[in-house]
Amino acid sequence: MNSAVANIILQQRLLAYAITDGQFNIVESAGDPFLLYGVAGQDSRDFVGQSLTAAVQELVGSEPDLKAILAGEQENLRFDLVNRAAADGQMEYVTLTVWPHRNAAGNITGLICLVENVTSQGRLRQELTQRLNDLRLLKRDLDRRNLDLAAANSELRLMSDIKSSFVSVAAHELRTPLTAIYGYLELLMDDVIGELSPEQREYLGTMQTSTERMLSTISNLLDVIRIDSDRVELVLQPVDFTEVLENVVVRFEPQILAKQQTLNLQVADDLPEALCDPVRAEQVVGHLLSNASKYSPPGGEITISVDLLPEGDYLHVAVADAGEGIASEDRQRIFTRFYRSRQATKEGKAGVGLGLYIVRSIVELHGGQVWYESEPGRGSVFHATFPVADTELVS
Amino acid sequence: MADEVAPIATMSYKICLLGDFAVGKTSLVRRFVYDLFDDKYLSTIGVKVSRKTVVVPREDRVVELTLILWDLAGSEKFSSLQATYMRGATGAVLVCDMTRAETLAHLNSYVEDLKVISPAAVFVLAANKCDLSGWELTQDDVESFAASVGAPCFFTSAKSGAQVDDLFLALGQALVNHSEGGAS
Repeated sequence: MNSAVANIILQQRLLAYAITDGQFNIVESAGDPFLLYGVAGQDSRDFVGQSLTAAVQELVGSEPDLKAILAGEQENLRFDLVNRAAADGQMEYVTLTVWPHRNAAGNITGLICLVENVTSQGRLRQELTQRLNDLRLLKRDLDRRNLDLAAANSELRLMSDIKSSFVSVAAHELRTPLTAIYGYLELLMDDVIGELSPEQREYLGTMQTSTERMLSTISNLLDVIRIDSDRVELVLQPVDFTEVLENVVVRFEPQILAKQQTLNLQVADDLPEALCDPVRAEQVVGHLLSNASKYSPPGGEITISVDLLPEGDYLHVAVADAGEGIASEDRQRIFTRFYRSRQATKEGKAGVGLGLYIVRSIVELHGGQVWYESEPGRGSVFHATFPVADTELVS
Repeated sequence: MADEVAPIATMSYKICLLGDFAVGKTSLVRRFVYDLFDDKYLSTIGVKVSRKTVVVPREDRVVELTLILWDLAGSEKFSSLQATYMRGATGAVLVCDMTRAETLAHLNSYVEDLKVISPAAVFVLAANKCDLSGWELTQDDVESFAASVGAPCFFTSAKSGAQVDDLFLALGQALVNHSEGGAS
């Protein structure tokens, strides 16, 4: 090799080497001693005369290999990515290889120990390994947390199931006698067992209203349990939504008339059929209308409108009331379970805060959306959408 | 001043540190050789060789041992590269992490791999990170595994230094006992 090239290689710390005699004693050494021997602040020539295995600590234990190389029985000995820690903490990496050293006649006279500076590759590999190991530790930690969460979740689910079973049993047990009470009240109010005095009629009327409320609350509770345990099954079919509206209006007419409220119906022409469960759709519109009546003042105006969204794939139902609007602090939670607005609580409005939760759940089960618009003092409009029936698919 | 006893022999032994990544192999060496500890985890790649000389008793004299410590990158897969690193090892420190149960189970394969390369290798076991809470291993787990591979075990903390010197001295002693009648 050209000596100038050799000097550059050694000066640029690309390589360092030591040559030994047949007893492994170093007879020649050049290049950075830090790379070769892991020692800074010395000259390679200082190691001449020392045993190679004493000077290069990585070769301790490799004496049988070195003897085999010297005897021509082994081609070489190689250690990749040997770490060299500098005083400043920086790590350098070398590949250490021991070869036989031959004379001009080709006879092995000793060993050549060569180190190649592979720091740039080493650092890159260290960085990759570091990231990989960090990720493995992170994944392990996440897996463990997931297990803990799954266990906690399983326990919570069990407790929730117990609670739901309890509420369900209690609600069913309450509903049966209440239905009987309601039936007999209706008979009494229909004068089946004789004409009632005005006072009796008033008292029985109060009992009937209270019973209706209890039945409604129980029904809502059972619905929430079904929703939360994914037990709501929709019987989807093409439905003429005007029939849904008519049924709801008939059911809520007494409540609206009692408050002398006005109900406007605005149904767009040529409405396509909705793909929905008619019983559940009536429940949705019924809850919205009941709320609208409840929060509108006596004599207030309520409007139900049904039209087709511009894209043509959803029917849009909007129920507008003449109430005070929804306070800003109620807006985030209005569709959550058991949430009652401040106004409802303050004014002692009937209900337990399940209606809008049921509305949202049923609409979303249909693939629709719910939302509202409200301005304080100017009432609220609640919106719900139901998918349009694809007549080709349905048939 | 106590009378100094001249060593009857000076020997060098190649020792491998074996165990999964991030169990604390590098930290144990750093604590033993330099009495230092750094909380930051820096993955080792390839091999980092350090040495430390210890003195252990042999009969009524002492032996000076230079332990050449090969801190190998943790890897569950045995490779020809690791086989090269392990050749010539007379002993090994098996390292597991008390907060990661699988690191103890994996030690079995490290033992088997080294036994193929160096059948007479002597083992000690370091159950490391004892200073941390959240142990996934019990003392019984570690002791019964150590017994199964014939290794004395030590509950170490590279952070506090607990049992680190004891670990390496026990290994040195085992090597001396093992080589009695052979090496000198």
